Amino acid sequence: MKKTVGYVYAVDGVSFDVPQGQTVGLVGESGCGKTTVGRCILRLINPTDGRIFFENEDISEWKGEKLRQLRREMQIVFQDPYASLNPRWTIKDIVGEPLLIHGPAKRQALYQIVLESLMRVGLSEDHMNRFPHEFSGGQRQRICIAKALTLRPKFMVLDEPTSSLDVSVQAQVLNILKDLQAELGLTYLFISHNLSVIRHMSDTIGVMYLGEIVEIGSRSDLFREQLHPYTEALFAAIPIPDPEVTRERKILTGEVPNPTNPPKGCRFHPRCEHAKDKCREVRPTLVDVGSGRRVACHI
Amino acid sequence: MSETVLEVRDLKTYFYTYAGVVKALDGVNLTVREGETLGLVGETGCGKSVTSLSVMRLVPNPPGRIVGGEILFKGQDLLKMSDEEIRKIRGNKIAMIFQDPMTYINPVMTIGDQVSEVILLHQDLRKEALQMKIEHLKTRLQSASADTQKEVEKEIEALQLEMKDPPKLQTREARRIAITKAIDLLRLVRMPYPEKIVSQYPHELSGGMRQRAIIAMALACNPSLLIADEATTSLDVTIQAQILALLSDLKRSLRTSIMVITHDLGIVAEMCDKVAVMYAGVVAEYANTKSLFKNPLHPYTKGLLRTIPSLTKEQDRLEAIEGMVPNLIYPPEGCRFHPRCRNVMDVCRRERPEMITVEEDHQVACHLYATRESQREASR
Repeated sequence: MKKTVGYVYAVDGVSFDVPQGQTVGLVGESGCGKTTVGRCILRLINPTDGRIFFENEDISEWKGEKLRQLRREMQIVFQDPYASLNPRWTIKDIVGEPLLIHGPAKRQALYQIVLESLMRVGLSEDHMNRFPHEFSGGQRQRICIAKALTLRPKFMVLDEPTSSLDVSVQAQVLNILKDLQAELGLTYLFISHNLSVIRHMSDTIGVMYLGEIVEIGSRSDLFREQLHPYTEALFAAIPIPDPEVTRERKILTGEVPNPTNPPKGCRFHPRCEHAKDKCREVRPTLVDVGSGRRVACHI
Repeated sequence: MSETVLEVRDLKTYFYTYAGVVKALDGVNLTVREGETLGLVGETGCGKSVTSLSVMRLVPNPPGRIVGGEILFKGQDLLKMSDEEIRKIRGNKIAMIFQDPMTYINPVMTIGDQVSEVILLHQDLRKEALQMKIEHLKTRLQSASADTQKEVEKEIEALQLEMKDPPKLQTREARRIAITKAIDLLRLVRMPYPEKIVSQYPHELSGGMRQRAIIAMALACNPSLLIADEATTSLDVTIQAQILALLSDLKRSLRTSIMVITHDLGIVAEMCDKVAVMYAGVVAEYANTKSLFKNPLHPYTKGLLRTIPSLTKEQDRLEAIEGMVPNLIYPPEGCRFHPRCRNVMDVCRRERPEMITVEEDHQVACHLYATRESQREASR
């Protein structure tokens, strides 16, 4: 699918599948389009071109009541837990809001459902009548997850859910997400720039650069060997918390190009040390290299 | 044994707020030697940024105040200096780079002007100006005719005499020299097209480039100590790798000591010689990097290392540290970590642990090791 905002090709031809009960991770740096993909899938932004299939139905153009019904099934958790909660509402109201729109809204039923959601994320009944500012970042993020769970969705987009949290809090939240996936059979699209978190959470991983998926494959394949030069550079760039490990580090030079004026041909070619003539002219497409792995590279 | 550049002794920095007194730093001890890189690691609220601000005497007052301790920079106590004296050191001998390059850079000045500003403030450019004039004349000498040669030589002699007490510089001259030096500095920090960048504004640059500009400003006066406070946190990971590589190279060539403040243990493992793990305003563990990762002693350090998702091992669940960081207005009695500690003992609830040396270059503030030591004493 494509999404053109003015002349910014934020997402330019992205295709992938998310199998039920699994997690697909989208990793990439700022400006690569991963957040836009997440929002497009949920129809928070409307794609300019392309199709989105949810449970084998084409939802790309659904509107009105149909779209509203769909929203029960698909939810999202955002990055900034300080910005995504209404500071003037109690936790009970925040987590219960989806029920006001989609029902049931009767007080008793609502209370029970909200309580259940909160307990699922490790919070308790005493938290229901408090306000967001009384909670820490990690707790707020759990409230966001609870809210997303209220309608018992099948699919959740998690957009950098732990990026603004401390490492130890991140561990708590990721554990909760994994437990919930096992308990409720949820399917996740996990978006992050943090490769180790993506590795921990995902079954399949897609690497994005400047609006495209440059490589996609299973977690084990991708971590065993990186095929696309950008994937290689991304993996090499991460500092490893082990002073004994000395790596030959190939540091990627240059900057991410401006998305309003992407390079011709392969978008990565100006920074690629293996770039050949063909790379400057022709844009590579994702090619299957076996066992469900795809790479977009001429080399 | 190399010279000690910075020594922080029992530093206490408190913040006086309506809600109470926040004991942000409650007795911090650190040392940085020449050419050494110290990592200050900890999570939000542990006091690492406050430590660096205290060293620079930039703690906002009110509500903050350094209430105790000493900060010795090359033997001199920074806390006893006057405002004027500290201004001569700040930005000059001790420099700092902050987290978000867009917030800390001046948006209405060109990069060139900003880097020059540092140079003009702290450096005496008179001798350099004079030297430049002499060099200029010397080149003229080579292409001059016989008659003019004598004249030029006389001029050079005259200028050389002035070297002992060079004349004051005109602003325009000074700025010209400063800009030339700025371009050199930008080249040093691997900024692409430095001659173009000097006339550009920060918003025209990318995040990585802005951070390079800030590093250039920090290095302008060849500081003995560079404090990098989460300098790469807001950058993309590939750009972060570039900046860290740059800092490593610069540290080697300029022999600058660096204090790296971060929450990323990966960066610590790569860049730092020594590490201080901070928790709730105190140093929990202090060791050389290899020892810390190989043999973490403090339960908090152990917990921290376990919460990092591994890039190599298979993990089903991540181990989390139970509980939350304490409120520093009412910190826990005794050891500040005790409410969250798996190995908590009675003494931990009552007494604050002292720093004990467990092995060479490895100290920890934890009663677990005190008891072992006292047991060893008792068994003698």
